Amino acid sequence: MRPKRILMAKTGLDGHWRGPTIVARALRDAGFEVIMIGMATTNEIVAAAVDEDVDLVGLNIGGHIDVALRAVDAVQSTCPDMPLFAGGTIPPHACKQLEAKGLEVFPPGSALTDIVASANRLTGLSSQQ
Amino acid sequence: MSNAADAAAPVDFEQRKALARAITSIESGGNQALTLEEAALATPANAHVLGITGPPGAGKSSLVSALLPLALQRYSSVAVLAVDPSSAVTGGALLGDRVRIDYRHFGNRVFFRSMASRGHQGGIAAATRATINLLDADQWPLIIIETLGIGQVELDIVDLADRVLVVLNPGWGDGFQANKAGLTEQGDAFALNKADRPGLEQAKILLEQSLQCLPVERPPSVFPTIATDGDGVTELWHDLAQLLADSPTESSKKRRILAAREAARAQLLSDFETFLNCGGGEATQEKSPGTATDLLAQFYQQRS
Ligand code: B12
Ligand SMILES: Nc1nc2c(ncn2[C@@H]2O[C@H](COP(=O)(O)OP(=O)(O)OP(=O)(O)O)[C@@H](O)[C@H]2O)c(=O)[nH]1
Ligand SMILES: [Mg+2]
Repeated sequence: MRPKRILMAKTGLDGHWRGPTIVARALRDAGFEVIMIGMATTNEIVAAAVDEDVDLVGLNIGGHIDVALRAVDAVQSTCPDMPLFAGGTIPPHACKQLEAKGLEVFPPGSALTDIVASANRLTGLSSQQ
Repeated sequence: MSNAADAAAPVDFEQRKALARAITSIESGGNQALTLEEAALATPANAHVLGITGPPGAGKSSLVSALLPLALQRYSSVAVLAVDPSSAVTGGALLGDRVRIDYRHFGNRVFFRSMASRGHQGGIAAATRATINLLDADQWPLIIIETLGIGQVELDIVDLADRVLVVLNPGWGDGFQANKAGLTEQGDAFALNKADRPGLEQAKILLEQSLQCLPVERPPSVFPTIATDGDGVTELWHDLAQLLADSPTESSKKRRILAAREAARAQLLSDFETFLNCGGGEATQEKSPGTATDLLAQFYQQRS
C-alpha cells in the first residue's frame, strides 16, 4: 500500500523548530511521508494541503491561538474530510478550543509513540478505538 | 482535470484537487497510472521542462525559490515537482524542499508538489515522468523538476527534461572530480551556488576547463550564485530562459512518450506473468494454441 502523506505546518511567525522537526522525524520513521512547510499563513497551509494531496494535516502551534483556529477553519472548509492534529506550547484553554473543532492535541511532554498512534488512526492505518 | 489558470483569478481549489489526486494515482502505479499517462500524452501540450540537480544540500530548492519570480515574468504559471529520498528501512520520507520556498509568489500561478523517491534509483521517483506528462497536459507552460540530492551517476532527469541545471558548490572537488564522467557531461548550465563560501574562483576555473573539453559547439556556462541573497540568479535565469526557448520543439516530450510506452509494455508483461503464476496458466506450455488464446482472452478481460 502507498505510504500515507502528512503535512507538517507551523502557524505564526515562530522560531521553535525543534518540536515539529522531532515529530516529523518520528512520523518518517513510522513510514509516513511528511511534507514540511515551515511557517505558513492560513492560505499557504490550505494550498499546500491541496497540492500535496495529504491524508492528514499537522499543525505546530506557537503563540497566537486565533491564527491557528483560523487555519483549522480554512482547512476544514476547503477539505471537509481532512483530519487534523496539533501540538506545541498550547495553553489548556486553547487545547479545548482545538479539540472542540475535532483535533487531537498533543501539548509539550506528549510521547512520540502516542503521536504516531494518532497519525495511524487518523489516516485509517489502524482502527478507531 | 483542470487547466493551469490565469494570474488574476482566485485559486480554484477544486481544479487543484483534481490534479493533485491524479498525481497521487500516478504515484500509486499500476494500470490506473498508465491510463492517466496515456490520456495525458494524447492531450496537445508543449511545456518547457527544466531539471535542477546536484548533490544534497547544494541549494537546489533555494535556487528554485529565487528563480520562481523571474520565471513568472516569462511564463504565465509554473509547476514545481520536488523529489526527496524515501527511507529504504521504513518507506517513510521527510519531504523538506518546500521549507526553502518563498511563498509570496504562490497563488494560482504556482503548483508545488513534493514527491518521495519510493525506492526508485536515478535521482527521481518512478512516477516523475508520468507526473511531468500530466502537468504538461494540464497546460502548465513551465515545469521545474528538483531531483533528490544526487551523486555522480543518478542522472535520469536528463531523459525527461528539455534542459538541466547542475548545482554545485565551491570546494566541491578538484581537477579530478571535474574530469570524471557523469555530472559534468550532462548539464546545460551550471550554478556554483554558495558563492559566498571560499574556493569559488578555483572551482569556477576547474569546472569551466572541464566543460570546454566537451564535444559541443558552445560549452555550458558556469554561474556563481548566492541563492539565499539572489546574487547571480538573474544572470543564471537569463541563460536558462534562452536555453529553454532554444530547445528543440517536443524534444523531451518525444523521449517521455517512448519511455511511457516502454513502461506500459513492461507493466503488461509483468501483469501477464502474475496472471500465469496465479493459476491462470498452470502448465501453459503444454496447452494447445486454442487454449492459449482462451487464456489470453481471460487475461484481457481481467485487465479491462
Ligand atoms: C528551546 C526553546 C526555544 C529555542 C528554540 C530552538 C528551536 N530550534 O526550536 C529558542 C531559544 C530559539 C527559543 C526562543 C524563544 N522562545 Co522559546 N522555548 C524553548 C523551550 C525551552 C523548549 C521548546 C522545545 O524545543 N521543546 C522540545 C520539543 C520537542 O517540545 P515541543 O515543541 O513542545 O513539542 C512537543 C509537543 O508539543 C508535540 N508537538 C509539537 N509540535 C507538534 C506538531 C504536531 C502536528 C503534533 C501532533 C505534535 C506536536 O510533540 C512534541 C513532543 O512531545 C520552551 C519551554 C518549554 N519547556 O516548552 C520555550 C518556549 C516555547 N519559548 C517561549 C518564548 C516566549 C520564546 C521567545 C519569544 C523568547 C523567550 N522568552 O525565550 C523566543 C522566540 C523566538 C522566535 N522567533 O520564535 C515560550 C512560549 C510561550 C507561548 N506559549 O507562546 C516558552 C513556552 C517558554 C515560556 N514558558 O515562556 N525558545
Ligand atoms: N551560505 C549559503 N547558504 C546557502 C545558499 N543557498 C542555500 N544555502 C543553504 O544551504 C542549505 C541547503 O539548501 P537547500 O536549498 O535546501 O539545498 P538542496 O540542494 O535543495 O538540498 P536537498 O534537496 O536536501 O538535496 C540551507 O540551509 C540553505 O539556506 C547560498 O548561496 N549560500
Ligand atoms: Mg531541496
